[in-house]
Amino acid sequence: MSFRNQIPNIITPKSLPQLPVKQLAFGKLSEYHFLEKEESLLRITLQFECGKIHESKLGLNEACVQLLLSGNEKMSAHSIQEKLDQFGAFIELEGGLRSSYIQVFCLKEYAEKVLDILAEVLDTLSFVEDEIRIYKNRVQENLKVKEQKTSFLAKRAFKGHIFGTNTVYGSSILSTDIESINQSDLIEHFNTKFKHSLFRIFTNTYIPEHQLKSLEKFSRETIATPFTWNGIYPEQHEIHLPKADAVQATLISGFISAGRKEETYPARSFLSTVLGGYFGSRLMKNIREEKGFTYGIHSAYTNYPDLALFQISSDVKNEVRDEALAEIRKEIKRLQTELIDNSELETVRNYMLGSLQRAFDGSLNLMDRYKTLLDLGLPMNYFQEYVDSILELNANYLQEIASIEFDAKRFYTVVAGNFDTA
Amino acid sequence: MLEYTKFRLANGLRVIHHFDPQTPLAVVNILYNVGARDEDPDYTGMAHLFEHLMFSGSAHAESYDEPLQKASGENNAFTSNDITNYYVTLPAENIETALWLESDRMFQLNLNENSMKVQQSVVIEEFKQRYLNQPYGDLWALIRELAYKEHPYQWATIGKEIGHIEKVDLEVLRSFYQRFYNPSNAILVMAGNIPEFQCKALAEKWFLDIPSGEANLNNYTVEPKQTELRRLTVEREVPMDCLTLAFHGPRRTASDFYACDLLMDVLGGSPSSRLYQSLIKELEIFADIGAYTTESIDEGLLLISGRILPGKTLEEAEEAVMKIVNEVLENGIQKSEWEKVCNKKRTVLNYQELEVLNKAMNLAMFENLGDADLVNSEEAKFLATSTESLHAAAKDYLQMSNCSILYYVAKK
Repeated sequence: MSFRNQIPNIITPKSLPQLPVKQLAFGKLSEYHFLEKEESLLRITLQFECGKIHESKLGLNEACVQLLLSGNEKMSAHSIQEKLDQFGAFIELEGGLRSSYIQVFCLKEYAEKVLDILAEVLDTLSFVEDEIRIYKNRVQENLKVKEQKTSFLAKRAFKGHIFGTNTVYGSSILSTDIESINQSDLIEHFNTKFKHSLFRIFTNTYIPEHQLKSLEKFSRETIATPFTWNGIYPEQHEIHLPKADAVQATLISGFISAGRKEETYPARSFLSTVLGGYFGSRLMKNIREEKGFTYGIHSAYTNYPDLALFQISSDVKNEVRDEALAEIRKEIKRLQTELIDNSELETVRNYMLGSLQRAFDGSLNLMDRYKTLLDLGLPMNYFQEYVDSILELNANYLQEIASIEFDAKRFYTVVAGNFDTA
Repeated sequence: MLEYTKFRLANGLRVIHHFDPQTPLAVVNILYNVGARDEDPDYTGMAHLFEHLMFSGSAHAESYDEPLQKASGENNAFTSNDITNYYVTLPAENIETALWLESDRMFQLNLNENSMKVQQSVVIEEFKQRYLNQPYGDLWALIRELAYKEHPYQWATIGKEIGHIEKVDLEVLRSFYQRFYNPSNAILVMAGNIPEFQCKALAEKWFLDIPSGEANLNNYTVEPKQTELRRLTVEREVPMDCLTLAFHGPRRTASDFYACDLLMDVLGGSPSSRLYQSLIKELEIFADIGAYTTESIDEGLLLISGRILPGKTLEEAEEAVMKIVNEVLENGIQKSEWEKVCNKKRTVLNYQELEVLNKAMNLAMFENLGDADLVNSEEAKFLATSTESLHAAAKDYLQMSNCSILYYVAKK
């Protein structure tokens, strides 16, 4: 018998590394968090407590954030980019629901110079008309491209339907929203909401506080009130979006659920992994590997501080969309009526714990996990407790949770595709 | 400086080890010297389809994925026109599971009718999802066809047409496997929290009994020198016109590759680049525009591509791009532009050393290019360029007789 018949022994990774993060006060009400690790590449994340929830017009915060480096009458956007590029810096701008971010990647040796440029740019930002016009034009054109994709249409419709298009969680920026944004809106939003809302600075390696000095004037002056969703659930459970020339149909099915703080979360995320959370999941096996309906199908919880959104999504052959939906329902039913066998329990458990270990590897990942804890309001030992809970899960308990969580009545479904074909 | 050791097993398998005690993980990366350029022109898409079939299980492991998931591992793979690369990350203690699975599928892969049928179907859905159901999805395939007339870079990794994927049979698959999936044609990298002595012992234990096979000699029809401008116009259901220019460029290991790569960065690598600044901001002709090199092993392409705002025409867009190209041809570039793109390159190269998986992949890539040690001279080679060498590269390659232009017209 070949040595190849002997399956190698394995261990289950049960403990996560500590998060070696130090926190210092910054300005009056802000914080500087850094990872105690030597790195030559610096990533610095500036979190501003200003997001979609603070805007007076849809799309305004996003526009404001994307125009942060657009300069003023004397200092053009081009000259700003030139200066930042001169030090090899990459900058990412991201407008979020509750917060917005400026993320800088550069060599550590250039940190102070890059931050000084950034501070000057923010301090003298005037929202030049030309830059606003170019931005609006570009976003509107790019939106037209996205609107060609069934996946984009389905995502937008699902979010809008389940949360309500008039809520912060459910609304999407349309071309008309972009059109209505003007210079005075931007100036007002920036000056009154954004400019003094820097509340956390994160770095993946230590840089001395004096190098951050120029950012102090943006540190927050007040603490924002927490925001929660108080929406109403819609009555209609399935909606169809026709797209005549589509070769594939996008399916999204899911519901609003409790967030990470709630005690059944480890069981729920385990069930989601069994269903569609990894390459060997039941949906991947059934719909991709056995039937060849799709290139991929996934399920996951997206977590917010006050809730989570559970979604199953896939792009499938147009003509099999109903069959695919029926198979999804069948797989959900199985979770509620059959016990997960030991082998699958072990596979999913070890896979999840391995994923967590990978998510704790390297300075960027460590800082991202730490930031997640702060964003979702979770305790510092949360991830280790999560691991401990995963290790304790058993098949009976999982079946019980599946029956409650995946109750058919909770699901909403959007299908975007070509309904002219059979 | 990325430290590593390298050795070769008696059956020809090249093994590279990189020790990183800071991570609890190990990476197993296997690169096979086979890509879309090795395909029969009547069976394009084979290399990529085969990548899918490598997950069908092997003689001693009925399933590839399940034992790996049990060992807390994660894996993926990709196929390019040059290579096929497979990688696994898992807790370092479990590295043997990855080696068992990888060696077994290099040795005796399960190729059967059923897995073939399913993967053909999955790949056809991938073809639709990424290339047909996607605005501009066939753009790069069209460019390849226009720029290459002889060299197999003329088709994309997904293949020329769905029909090629449909007609594959087991016989074709078996001969492809035999020809390319063997120790002589592969590079194994073990990186992470694995000591060197263990790496050696494990490589021998799991891979030494696999029959050697033959290395791919990588002989391809050389692309004849292009002598006149080529043009193609297509019409598609997309919202904006798109202009693409493709110039033949150097191979990845050529000494002027570095100047070409930086030259493309000067032209269109960032918001302060010439094309971006002039054509998006000042003249407002394009909604987006970029410039890149394909970084392929054989002679690649230098690409400029962007989508045009409504009200502007493809002709005026082309003229505006050419004006900027001609300025570079006539006057070269500024010292400050060169410094800028060099600094950005340094940031990127440093970024790539943050994670053990990137380090492992880079070692395999450079070994396949000729020597893993090349990974440590990249920064110096970029910094050894100059404004003069970038200007020379422009004159060598950015000529109209060396160019293919695609007009991708939005159907009205």
